[in-house]
Amino acid sequence: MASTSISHLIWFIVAVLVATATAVTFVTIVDSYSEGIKDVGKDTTGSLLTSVDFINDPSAVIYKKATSTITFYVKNTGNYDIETSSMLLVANGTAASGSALTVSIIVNGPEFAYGSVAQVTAVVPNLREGVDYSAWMNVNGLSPSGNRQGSDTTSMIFKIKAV
Amino acid sequence: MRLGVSVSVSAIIFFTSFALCLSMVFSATQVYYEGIKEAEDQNALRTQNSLHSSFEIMTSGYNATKHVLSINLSNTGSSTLATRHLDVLTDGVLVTGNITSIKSGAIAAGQWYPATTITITLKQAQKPERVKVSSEYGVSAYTSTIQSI
Repeated sequence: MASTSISHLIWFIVAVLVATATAVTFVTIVDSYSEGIKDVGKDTTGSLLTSVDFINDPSAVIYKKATSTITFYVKNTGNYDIETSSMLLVANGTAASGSALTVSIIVNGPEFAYGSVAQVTAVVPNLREGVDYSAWMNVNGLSPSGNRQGSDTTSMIFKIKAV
Repeated sequence: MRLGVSVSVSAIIFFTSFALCLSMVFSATQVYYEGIKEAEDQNALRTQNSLHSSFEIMTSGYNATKHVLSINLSNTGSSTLATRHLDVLTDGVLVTGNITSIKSGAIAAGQWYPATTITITLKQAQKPERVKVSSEYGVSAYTSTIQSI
């Protein structure tokens, strides 16, 4: 009689342990999935609220021949601030980011917020006047809490004006 | 202790975890859709304002004595534009920082209403060959006709 009770008790403990372990695993997986849904939502939201545009005169993008430095003016036309440290510029196939880009907010600074204009300069060798070139830029948005959230890409066909 | 108790307790644990999972997925989905819905609304508003924005440079004059460039613009769209977000480029160089005044008639203009004109005055060392004005939504107007005044 006593051995039957002990056997039932062991079965009970094992059943509860297995059920709990299974439930915890299940909840952990679903929790991870839920966080993934939230992250995707935040990223999509950020991309909808992040927007930039080149505002250069496309027929006269300033190019300093002596230093092979090209200057772009990028305007924040979205709702989110833009993270200046993670900008990526590609002009005539030459990519520049991080320390290869010089970014300064020259209108409505110091943050790169809605309506602000950033002057972005990079070294792009061997550009010539009268030739059509293309450039595109990718930026990351910053949520109101300051987290990187969403991105936007803008592009432009241009000619340089050598100075 | 009967075997049925083990089954019942296990079932309760499973059902509780199932309810917890459902609430987590529901909560995450709600956050996802509400956030995107709000962002889509703001994005649509921005797009709408951009599509309704239109303006043109009517005349542009350069005073070589005073080194002043004046640009007369007409709002030909149906969006009201904030003048503090207007940018001016002369010969490819951004000169927004040189703007000394933006006026509608004789009054400083903060907002630029549809079917009204404004005059942007700025300091300019030399007579430019091309002038570009860009609005807050990235809509732009150009001119290469700059009169000497």
